[in-house]
Amino acid sequence: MRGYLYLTISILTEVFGTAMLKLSEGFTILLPTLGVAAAYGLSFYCLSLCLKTVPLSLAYAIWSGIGTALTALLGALVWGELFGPLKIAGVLLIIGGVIMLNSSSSKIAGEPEGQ
Amino acid sequence: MTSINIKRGIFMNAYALLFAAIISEVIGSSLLKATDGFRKPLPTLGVVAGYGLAFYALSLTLLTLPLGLTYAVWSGLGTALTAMVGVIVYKEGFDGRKLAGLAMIIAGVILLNVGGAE
Repeated sequence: MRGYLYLTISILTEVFGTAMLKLSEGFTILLPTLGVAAAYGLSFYCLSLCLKTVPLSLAYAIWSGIGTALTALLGALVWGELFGPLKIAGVLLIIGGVIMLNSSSSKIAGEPEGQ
Repeated sequence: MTSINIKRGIFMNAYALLFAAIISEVIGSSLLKATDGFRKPLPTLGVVAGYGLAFYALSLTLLTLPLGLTYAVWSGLGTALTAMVGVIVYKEGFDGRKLAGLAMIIAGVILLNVGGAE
């Protein structure tokens, strides 16, 4: 499914953009600032392409959920931010929620051509 | 007395700004589907304006409210309302599993954002 490929790219570029946002130190360092603009631009472009086939109610929740989870993991791995039991529970809930959404029978509703 | 009133004014103002940030995010995200891959100019302009206004209002909210909770409420309500727009306006299907999945993702995002200070 091409829609889910676009969704994956959209999530990864969003997470990359958020990491650049931290490195840009309030948009004062040029290269990461350009990275933020390029990554978020690409992320929203791919999300809009994804929405041609994947329902908005599914795609936006998955995009924001997985994006937040990966950003939190990146914060812990790269910047040594705390990752306690509440955050672990948060990540597990998001993964469970995405699986639940994808098992929903209304997954393909509002999707006229099955790509 | 006066300073209490002023503080209360800023406080309520912050919630009004947070509400504005949520509504403009939902307008932006809902129009994203209508842009047809950024090929239709009017919805595309709406996406840019919606997200621009959302982040501006969010930055003003953060002058008085804490980041973790504010971001959790903004992102959680934004996701829930966007899903509602999908179901009602774009006629996407809805069932118990979808409701449960959405609720789990939103709860997870809230936990991740408020779980930072443990």
